[in-house]
Amino acid sequence: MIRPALALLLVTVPAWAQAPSAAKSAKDAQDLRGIWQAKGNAYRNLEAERGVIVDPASGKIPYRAEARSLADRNFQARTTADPLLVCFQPGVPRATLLPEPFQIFQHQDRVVIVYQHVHAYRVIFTDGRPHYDDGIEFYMGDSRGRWEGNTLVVDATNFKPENWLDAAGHFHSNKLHVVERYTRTAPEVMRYEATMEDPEVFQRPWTIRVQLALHSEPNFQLIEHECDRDAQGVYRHPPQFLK
Amino acid sequence: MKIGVLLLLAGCGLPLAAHHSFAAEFDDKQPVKLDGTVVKFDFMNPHSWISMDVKNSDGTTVRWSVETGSTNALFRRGWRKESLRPGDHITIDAFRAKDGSNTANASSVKLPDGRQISAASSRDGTK
Amino acid sequence: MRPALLLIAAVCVSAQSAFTPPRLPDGHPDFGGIWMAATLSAAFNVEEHAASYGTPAGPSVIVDPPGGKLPYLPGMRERAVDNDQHRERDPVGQCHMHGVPRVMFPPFPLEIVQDGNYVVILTETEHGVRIIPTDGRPFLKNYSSWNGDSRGRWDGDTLVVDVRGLNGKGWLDQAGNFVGAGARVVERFRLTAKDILEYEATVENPSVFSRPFTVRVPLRRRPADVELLEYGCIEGERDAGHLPPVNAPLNGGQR
Repeated sequence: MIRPALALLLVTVPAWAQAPSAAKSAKDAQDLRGIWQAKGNAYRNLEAERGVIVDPASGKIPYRAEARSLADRNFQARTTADPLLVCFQPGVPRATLLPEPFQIFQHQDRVVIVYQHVHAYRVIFTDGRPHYDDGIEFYMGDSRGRWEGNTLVVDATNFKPENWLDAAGHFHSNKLHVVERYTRTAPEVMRYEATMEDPEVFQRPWTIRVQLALHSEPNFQLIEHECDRDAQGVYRHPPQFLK
Repeated sequence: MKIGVLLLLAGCGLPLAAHHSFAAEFDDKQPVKLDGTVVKFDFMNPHSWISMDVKNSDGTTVRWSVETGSTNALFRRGWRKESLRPGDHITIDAFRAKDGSNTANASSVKLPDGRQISAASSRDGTK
Repeated sequence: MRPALLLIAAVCVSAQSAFTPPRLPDGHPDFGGIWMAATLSAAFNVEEHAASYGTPAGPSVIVDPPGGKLPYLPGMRERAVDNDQHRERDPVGQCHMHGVPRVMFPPFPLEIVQDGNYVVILTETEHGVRIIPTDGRPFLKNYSSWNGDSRGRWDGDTLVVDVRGLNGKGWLDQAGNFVGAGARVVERFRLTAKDILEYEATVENPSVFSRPFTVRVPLRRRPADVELLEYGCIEGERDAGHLPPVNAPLNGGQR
């Protein structure tokens, strides 16, 4: 049962949305549009960066025993085996965490996220249509979203198994299921949470949380980030995109 | 796969080449008929790949890599990642790679249940 | 299926439509949805061509100059012919985005999303993206890219897009036609019927062509249940090892 004061909060338009040209409905609090970028360095190592894993409280990924040893082997090989090094699309939630901007568009029944990193994109339908069956897999998964108050909740499935979750070799299988929560807490701040579930790799679900900051520089835009083959015929990022 | 869906999609006649030109890699003057057993089916882009063991008339077995259309083209024709499983017996009409390797570009695939479907080859263009 | 496509294409070419488009709250026409080229053969060759080895026959999609031929400068058509003999050099085969205008008419769907001051074109091929601001901001300086830097504005119910910053390495079609470095493109998008988005692109490059030329490829709306599917390319690319080595640099006919 919702207490009256809480009910009032749920239908109140947040102060940040009351900009001069904003309309007056609670719907405008559901405006996530803009160019965003994650703060901090979660992209390097979800476990080593403090405060990123908020559940479990240990801050450690609850791997199954055999999966933990595979994560350790990935870590040892991370300077050569990381799929991102050879220009794979980054997957979810890794794409959100990268030190590179992404842009959110919203229109009618869909939210579109375009990541500058290798111009990966996701179309997130919010009209209730179901996921694909499990006969097809995507690097960026299949995403369906809904609103819970001012939070966009995105359910992502149908992942290819070959991707990593960060640069330290944390990984998943094609049974990965991610639930993301995007909440704009101030005009230039968004709280991003992602809960990962994968019965083949993890003993239980676990959750990360990072802050996203809006790019408010005048005329800021995504630029093209395309890969090309090197002299050995291997796809590589262009020099300005190497860490 | 639902047979009704397959037949409908096969009749759509959408051209399928976006990745590379068939002509650069394969030779439509070298048709091959590959009768064999699936080792692996990689349902992927830009092309899916069927790895199969083909028995020669002398009893030896040769491993072939056969390219089909993109996941997207195949998916819209009713294919799924489980459409071919290791051990499935299939027959493929294909065109051999110009470099002489045991690589081919499929034009049609006969499935374990006997149905014949287009492999969404990049050769087909507009049907 | 094909007769219906030809009929629709014929209607597009001949009509100066008085069609009133559906509008968004800001008053602009609503181009949103999934579209695909109605003239699928344009992806193979923008000029009129007979069927050949792996290529379907098709009409010219060049509406200017009359005659439907690319107005190459002397020596340039030879480079296109050389590309045609070396299709392993096609940058699309290396998973590069197709460039403008080629990206608008592959035989795969694309999606248009309008959101305030942005028109976004998502292409299934190469999971490509074009983000077109319509807020009048300046172009990027010293920018060289596969899909260009685009700025849009509304001219009545026509979206006019100015494209600069193309790197000149992309081809114009699978037959090796090209636009070259320094090309500038002006596109026009206009709904001429509920399910037809007329697309025109005027290309100018005085170092390759004797005069600007214009292609027109109507885009036909896909059925409502079609969604874009992810098209990973680099992740699964396995053909390179079977192609002849690419000795020439990947450029639009300029070595």
